[in-house]
Amino acid sequence: MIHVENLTKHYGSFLALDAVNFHLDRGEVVGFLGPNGAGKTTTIKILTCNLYPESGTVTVAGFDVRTDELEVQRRIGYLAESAPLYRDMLVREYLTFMGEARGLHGLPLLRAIDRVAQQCGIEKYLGRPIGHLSKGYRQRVGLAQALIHEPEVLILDEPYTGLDPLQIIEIRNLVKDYGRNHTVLLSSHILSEVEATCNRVLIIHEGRIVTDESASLLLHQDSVFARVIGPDPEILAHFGAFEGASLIGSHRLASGEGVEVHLKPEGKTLDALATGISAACREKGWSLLYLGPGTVTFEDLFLQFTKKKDARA
Amino acid sequence: MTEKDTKSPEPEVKEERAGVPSTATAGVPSTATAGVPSTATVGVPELAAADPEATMKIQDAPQRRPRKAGGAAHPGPSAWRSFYVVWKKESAGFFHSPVAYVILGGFALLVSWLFFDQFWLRNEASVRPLFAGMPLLFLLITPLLTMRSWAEERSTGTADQLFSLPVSLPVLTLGKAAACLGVLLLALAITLPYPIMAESLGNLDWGPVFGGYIAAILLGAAYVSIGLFLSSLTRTQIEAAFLTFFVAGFLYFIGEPFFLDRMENPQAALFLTRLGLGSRFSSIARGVLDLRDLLYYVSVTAFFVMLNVAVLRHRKWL
Repeated sequence: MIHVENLTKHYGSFLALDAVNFHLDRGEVVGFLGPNGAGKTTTIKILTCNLYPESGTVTVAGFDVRTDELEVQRRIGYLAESAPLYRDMLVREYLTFMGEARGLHGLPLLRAIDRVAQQCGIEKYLGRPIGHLSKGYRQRVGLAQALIHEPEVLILDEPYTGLDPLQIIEIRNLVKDYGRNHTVLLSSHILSEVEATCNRVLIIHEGRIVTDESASLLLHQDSVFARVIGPDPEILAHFGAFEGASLIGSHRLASGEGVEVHLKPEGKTLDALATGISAACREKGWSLLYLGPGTVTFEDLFLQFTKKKDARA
Repeated sequence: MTEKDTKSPEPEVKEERAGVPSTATAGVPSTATAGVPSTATVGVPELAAADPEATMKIQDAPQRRPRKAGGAAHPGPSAWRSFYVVWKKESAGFFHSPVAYVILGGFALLVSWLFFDQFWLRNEASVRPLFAGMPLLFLLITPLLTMRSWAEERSTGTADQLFSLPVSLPVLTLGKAAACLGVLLLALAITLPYPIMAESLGNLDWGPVFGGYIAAILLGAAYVSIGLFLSSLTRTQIEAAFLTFFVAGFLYFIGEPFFLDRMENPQAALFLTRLGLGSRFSSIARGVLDLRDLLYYVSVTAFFVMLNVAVLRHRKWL
């Protein structure tokens, strides 16, 4: 659905995007992560034809953003950062305008407005001026507008800012549901939201895609987490040089409460590593309080990938 | 025959597809049985293949639930329809805020003053002073109309959303221009009672009246295109309004006698008369319709509209 190849863009002498490559298929909800100024919004503006690519090719549903601008624009629904809306319009009026501008009119338009109002939970607010709505409801109106023509590609720039937790869950479910049969690209720097919504994650840092992986793969990197009670230094030393595994993290708890170790297998299966750990504890006479799969948080990953990039540069 | 054949496997096909409940068929049980040669039902199994024709026909079928299957885009509005949609939105924008009312109210006051100031003294059925003051009146109100057009969209961020719509830049620009011109036409409509009143009191020559209205519309279009263009260059409405006032004012005054009288070089004076926005106005307003004058205003308007589109397009390259 979305193909981006070697996309490069400068702002003056500042390199905003440096040969960015990625592909999105139908049925994917992809999170676009990165620190502020990494190039998320620039990429999104290029996908929505707000900016032209400097070099490289960008196609949406097979149409080039340079040569077939209108065809691309017909197929996308876009919610810009912080949901900019015409504040003096009524919600219904605004949705009518956005729907009509995308070719809907008459009865299908009325039905579409009812549909998105119900989906986004704004039925009661259709007759209100947008300027009177709270931030969360304005965000919903922005989302409703992006969904009104059932676009093949939905592009959301920071859709979760300003929403309360309950609203976040609602919108998250809506986006996930929509992504089953369409393509969704959403940018965010709220890592937990991307984790909960997306099945794939693109991390962008200083204009480069530093990682492009499935969310579950990223989060469930094979590792084993164990809590062991015994002489702390000895345990740490032992697992620090454990055969067939590398120590990715360790934490000494209060005295007598043991040590937490986080090991990653190298050339071994996860099960073999777990067996090895339990055998080692038995042999040394340490007590093993917990042994289970290790989890990586998005925060860890984010730091890990952006640091890697910095180290290389 | 063939139609029935294609219909019968339909529910199975639907079930296979990710267990999506067959919304279209459930919603319209009658179409299949009533023997309507329903393109909608035939199109359903093809949804998976994303046939653009099929999905578009489906949309007409009554449905309760949102359609889950993604398909081709809506055909998109025609350029005329987009123009109308943009014009409608912009016009509504004027009347949502007090801007249009204030402008029209102020205009009505000034016009009545212009008309009645010496109407009884002159003792003739003429609306000439009304049109003589029009270039200045328009110069006062047009910047207020055009100032927000692009500047506000840019400063609030709605421009991002607007430029993602399947509406081309020329259509967007013309739609906005038409909305501004529409308010000027409304302003002119306010003046209609005056010639009618003059007619009832004496013998009015309608030639200059028609000429005056045509000249006002042409001049208004030129002012609007200048104002819109300058609004696309600025970020705040105030900047846009002042720039428009000065630029349009400059283009008007270089063709006016009080400025030209001070010029030594007659050739330069003639050139400026031809260039100025106002000098042609008076000849049309006298009732003399010259094709060259009409072309002049049309080309000034077209020139600034094109500049405006060029600015918007250039900005996509930045």
